[in-house]
Amino acid sequence: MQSFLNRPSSTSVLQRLQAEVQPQVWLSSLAAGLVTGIIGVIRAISYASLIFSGALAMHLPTGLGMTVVSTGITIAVVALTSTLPGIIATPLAAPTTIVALMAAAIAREMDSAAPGDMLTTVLIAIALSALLTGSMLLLLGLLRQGERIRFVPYPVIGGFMAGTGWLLTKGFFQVATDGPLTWSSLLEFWQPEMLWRWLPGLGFAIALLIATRRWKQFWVMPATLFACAACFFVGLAIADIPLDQARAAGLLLGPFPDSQQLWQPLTPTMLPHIHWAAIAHQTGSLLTVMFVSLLSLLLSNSSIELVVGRDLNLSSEMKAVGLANIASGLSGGMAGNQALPSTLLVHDIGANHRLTGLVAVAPSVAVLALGSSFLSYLPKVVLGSLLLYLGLSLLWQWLYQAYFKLPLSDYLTVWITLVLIDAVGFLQGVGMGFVITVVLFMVRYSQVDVAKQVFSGATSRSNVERSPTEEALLSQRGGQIYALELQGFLFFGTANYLLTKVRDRAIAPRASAEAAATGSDGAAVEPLRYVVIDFRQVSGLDSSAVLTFNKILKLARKHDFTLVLTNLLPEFEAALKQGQGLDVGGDRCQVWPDIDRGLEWCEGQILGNTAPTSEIPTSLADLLSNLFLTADQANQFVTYLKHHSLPAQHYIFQPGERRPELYFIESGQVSVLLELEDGRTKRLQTCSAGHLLGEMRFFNKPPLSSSVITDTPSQLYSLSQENFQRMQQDAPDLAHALQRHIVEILCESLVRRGEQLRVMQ
Amino acid sequence: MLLKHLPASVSQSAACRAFAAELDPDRLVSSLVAGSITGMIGVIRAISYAALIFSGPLAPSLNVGVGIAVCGSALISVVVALTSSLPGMIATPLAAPTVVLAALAAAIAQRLGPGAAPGAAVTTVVAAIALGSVLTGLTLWILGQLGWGRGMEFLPYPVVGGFMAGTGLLLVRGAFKVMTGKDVSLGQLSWFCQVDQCPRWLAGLAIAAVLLWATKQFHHVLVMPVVLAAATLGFYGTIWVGQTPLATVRAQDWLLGPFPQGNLWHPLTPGNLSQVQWGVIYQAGPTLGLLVFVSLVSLVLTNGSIELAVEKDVDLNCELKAVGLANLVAGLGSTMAGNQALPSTLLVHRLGAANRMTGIVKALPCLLVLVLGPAFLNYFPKPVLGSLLLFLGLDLLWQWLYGAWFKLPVADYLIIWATLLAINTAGFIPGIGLGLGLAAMQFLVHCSRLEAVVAVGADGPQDQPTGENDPAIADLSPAVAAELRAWLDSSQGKAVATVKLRGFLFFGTAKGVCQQLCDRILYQSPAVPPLQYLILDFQQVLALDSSAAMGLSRLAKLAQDHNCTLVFCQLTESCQSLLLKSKTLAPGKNAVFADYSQAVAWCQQQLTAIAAAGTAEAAATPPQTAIKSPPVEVSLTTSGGMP
Repeated sequence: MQSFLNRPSSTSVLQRLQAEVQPQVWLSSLAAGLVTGIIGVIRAISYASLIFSGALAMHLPTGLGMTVVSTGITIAVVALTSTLPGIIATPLAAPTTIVALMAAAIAREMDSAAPGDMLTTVLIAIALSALLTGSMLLLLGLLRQGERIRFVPYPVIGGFMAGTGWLLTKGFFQVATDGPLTWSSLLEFWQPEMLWRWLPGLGFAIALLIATRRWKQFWVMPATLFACAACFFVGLAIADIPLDQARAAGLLLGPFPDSQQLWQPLTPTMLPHIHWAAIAHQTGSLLTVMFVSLLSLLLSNSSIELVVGRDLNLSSEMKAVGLANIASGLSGGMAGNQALPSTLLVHDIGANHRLTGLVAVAPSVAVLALGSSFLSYLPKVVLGSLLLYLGLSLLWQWLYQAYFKLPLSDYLTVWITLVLIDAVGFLQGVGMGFVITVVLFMVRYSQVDVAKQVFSGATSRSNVERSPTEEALLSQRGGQIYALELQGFLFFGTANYLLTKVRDRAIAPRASAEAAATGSDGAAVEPLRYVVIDFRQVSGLDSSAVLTFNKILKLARKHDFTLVLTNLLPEFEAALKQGQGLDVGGDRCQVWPDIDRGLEWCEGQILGNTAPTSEIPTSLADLLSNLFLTADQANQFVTYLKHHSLPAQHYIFQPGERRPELYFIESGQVSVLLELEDGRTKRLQTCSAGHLLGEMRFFNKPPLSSSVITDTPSQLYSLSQENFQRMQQDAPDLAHALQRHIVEILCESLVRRGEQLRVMQ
Repeated sequence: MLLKHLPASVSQSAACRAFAAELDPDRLVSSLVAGSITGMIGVIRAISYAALIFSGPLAPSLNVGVGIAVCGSALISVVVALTSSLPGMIATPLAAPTVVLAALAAAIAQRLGPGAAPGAAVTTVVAAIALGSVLTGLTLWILGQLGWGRGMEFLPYPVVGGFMAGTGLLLVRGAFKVMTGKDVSLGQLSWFCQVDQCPRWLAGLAIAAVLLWATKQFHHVLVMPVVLAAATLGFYGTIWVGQTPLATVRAQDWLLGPFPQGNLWHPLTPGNLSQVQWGVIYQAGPTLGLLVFVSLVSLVLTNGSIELAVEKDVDLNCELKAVGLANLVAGLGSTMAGNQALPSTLLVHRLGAANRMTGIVKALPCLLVLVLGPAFLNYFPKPVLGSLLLFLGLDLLWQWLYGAWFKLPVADYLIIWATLLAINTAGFIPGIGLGLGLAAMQFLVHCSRLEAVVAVGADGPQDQPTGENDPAIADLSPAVAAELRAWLDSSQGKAVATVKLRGFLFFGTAKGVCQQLCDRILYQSPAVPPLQYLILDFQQVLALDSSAAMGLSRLAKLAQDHNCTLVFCQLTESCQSLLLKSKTLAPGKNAVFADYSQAVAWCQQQLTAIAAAGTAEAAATPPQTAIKSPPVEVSLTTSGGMP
């Protein structure tokens, strides 16, 4: 025995047990457990009265047993299996209402049958609903589908919690005044004999609110409740009212139905008495109960997560609640779920231990064993003030504080959900909240500017080096190019915006011409000839967007411009082809891998429309003498260079290569590329005859590009470091001229980048 | 005098000039030709629509229906021809609103039942139709005046397809009802296959097939009238050959009628008004609303198609006002609503008769029919009427169920089918609602599937090399990028991680993103130092919503608990204000920067200062940020958590 106790594992277990039985844990769990357990039992009694009414009223005792058993089992199972210690689960109002309707329908259908049969069928139907709900939840939890469906928008959670708060507040007034809360009854509340029914409750609730906000100890709330109860009984004693009179006046809970012979477990002897046909007709209600339970679980889980400040794994919670429902169903009880108000209460008291749940079972057991007579000593005002406290704190958080935390549209969604939950029903209210949130999301998305960057060819050019005459022509005619860089998802909300932009640009010349004709001022706008649309940051395309491209293509035919699409992913291209938004073989449509090449093609078309650039083959010496050397110097310079004749697609600099050599292009075309992370390349520059390559590498600086590759068969001349040093010694004036030329090139490049940046801002 | 009441799109003098131009001889001739052809087609269509609406228990009053349809067609053409912004725009009653009117008439007739006064049903239906036209006219005119026309263009394409296909199917069912007197449904199919019923609808089906084939083969104007005329002649030819007396043919229900003598046009007079059962009309209120909605949708769709087809720009708001005015006039004259007609307008433009006069001439055949009275109606064969309706319906179905299969992805095609089935079983509104809901869900699913977190840069749990594939750096120039990479790879830099976010962070993606970010903070491989700075790059983020903002505030709290600082860069103003509201950013105490390299530089400063000070206390103020909002000062102490 001694050695057993001395083993390390058992010591840690003992230590844990010891931690569990700290007085703080005991006391807080006891207090919280008793309070929530009593609330659960009282709710069970009210549910029983709701379900077993009308034709079933004579079976109320049995019904009472059934609901109390369900409460006890649900609390116990969830307390033990949930991932959050201190969570309370009971039957909830929304599914119970549906169960009540189902029971009433069965009773109506079985009007002529034996009364015993009616009771049996109803009980089996209720148990079946619990079993089905439990199995579905357990299955979803085991399949880890919780991850898939936990997308609840924040305003909907807010509406749900506000709705719960309001229903609790309404519940308080109904408990206190024994009548429903309607507009007409509001006036009656101010009459003296009604005032003292609910005013004390309100006072106690406010006391609770203040106390729990000031002192965050576990004993504050139970102590306050005890103090309220004590005040009540002292008040009764002072006023010299005997308990029976108080009970008759409605100040104490009760009267409760006769509760002998409560629990009637399901037995096989019941089988022949069940009318399966009647149950089969209620399949709709059964499915609704399952669906509403799932929805309640989703919402309560998200709400409880917010309150306790940590994530609750939805799949595990589904498993826990599923098990509880199955257990409840097998014992003949009804479906239950996570109870938000009770869990809030437990959290406020600070009794987040599994012990709380176990203690909460005690009142249910007591009612079953001893009958419900002991409940009729509890003052209504205490119970009511608890409900009001919970209701008010929820309403305060979600109707007042949320105003500052949420954007206005989301705040209004909370209000609408609240009003609908109260007026129509839980399902309709939450459903409407979802719908409004989705609509708002789509509206907000459609307001995102799909055209991230819009520019014309006059201000932004491709990276191809051009001669000065070409540059001048392009600045004049560049307005014919209209380029759009798109972003986001192109769907029915945003597609039309794109079409309008292109259409407006297409008719701009005519509009400005008309304006000029009527004498108003307006710069003459170049006619639109090329529309470049870049898809690099487009995340998706839907069929309405494909239709828009079809319309743009038709616009292109009508207004005589060409559509150039760049950076198209293969799936976008396929979608566009299928929907006839793309006409690859036609003359109105071009597809290019990146926007730089697309712009280059457009510029080439513009330039090609005017004087063709003459391709007179010149030697390098002539080129150099035009650039920075005299004729003699050029001939001498060339002697230091080595000639290369390269085919197309040949790498001059491999990716990552840092060889310090300077290249002069005599003829041909070379592209300077930057490799991006997804394998796509971005072309930084295209160089042709007379241009210089590799100046950064030559001076041992990290290059701006990753690789340099020839586009066409080219003739190049290279200058190595050794030859350059030899040139510095032998012919320093050449070296000077070369260095000065490189400095000029770098300065021009800087100026151009600065221009581009300025335009992009 | 009419000119004075036109909308302000046409000024006084320009209108007179235009009017004079219209009377130019060769334009006049083409207007007359085009106008008469479209007028003829319009009359036949009007009679078919009237047969569709006044069927079943209302069939004996078909002459009233024909009067309504024909007169309405005339009134609407004239008003639209004068007020539209496109000369040569033709307007007639359209298929989709007519189908709704048919449902309305059937509902009213059923509610009143056979026990009501004989004239009451007809008068009530007429009043309902007139009221519908007035409501439609008012709504369209107000929308056009407010300039809200563009709002309707946000219908998803599959929903439009479903709407057209649903209209087509309802037209087909209506055609069968006209030809045989019974509505087609799955349970009734056997009745339709009986020997004596077969010829009725088979004849109509055959004519419709010929029409379909002919119009696709020969794109000529006169194809349809010629085929219909040939069919009628064929019908009477068969009767003459078979030597059947006309009375027998009429008794076997092959011809329309018999109709009472007198005028076709029965406008509502104050005397009639007392017979109208307003209560029944009020009960059918939702259908009237549906009529307005369907007219609006039809107008928007047709307008877009006409714009593309005639290759001119047509101002939607102006058209709304024009058609609204036309419907108002039609309603006041107790006739049915109408809309722009694509086929007729195309026809007119192809004939080169795009003049306002064409629309006015179109009204002439209608007036002729009114003047002639119902006498000629008694000789109209039913199969011919039914075949026209059948042709219209089958054409729509062909275009939208067969043609769409090749043009749309599978999911969108299924939405068309779902909308079609819902429209046919539950009605237009539930059908369109279902279509919109499915399209919205498809969009949501697309959006939530997009990977919102592009990269979890720098030594994740798998110990990847830093920054080489880091997209946050890729957009910077390689020189700067190389420098950043070098520092982030160093031992000091490993305490900094970068996450680039993109897309729209909404409730569908919020949880996933926050989960990934929380994991990034919590789970570190033991080889690397604990994470002290997490840089969130918002450059490619389109927008945030409140669920995402709440998730980020929880992340901020978690980070605070674990001694990690959240650094934000490239936030837009709206994102920043949302984060401030949700308490992710505390006012005045934040690390918010205009670009990524500034953020990394600041982290570097902080880490160096900590290392240099050697103690746990360091305070640093960052450089002024370049965001347009007032510069955000940051002062942090790292002793025991954030203030």
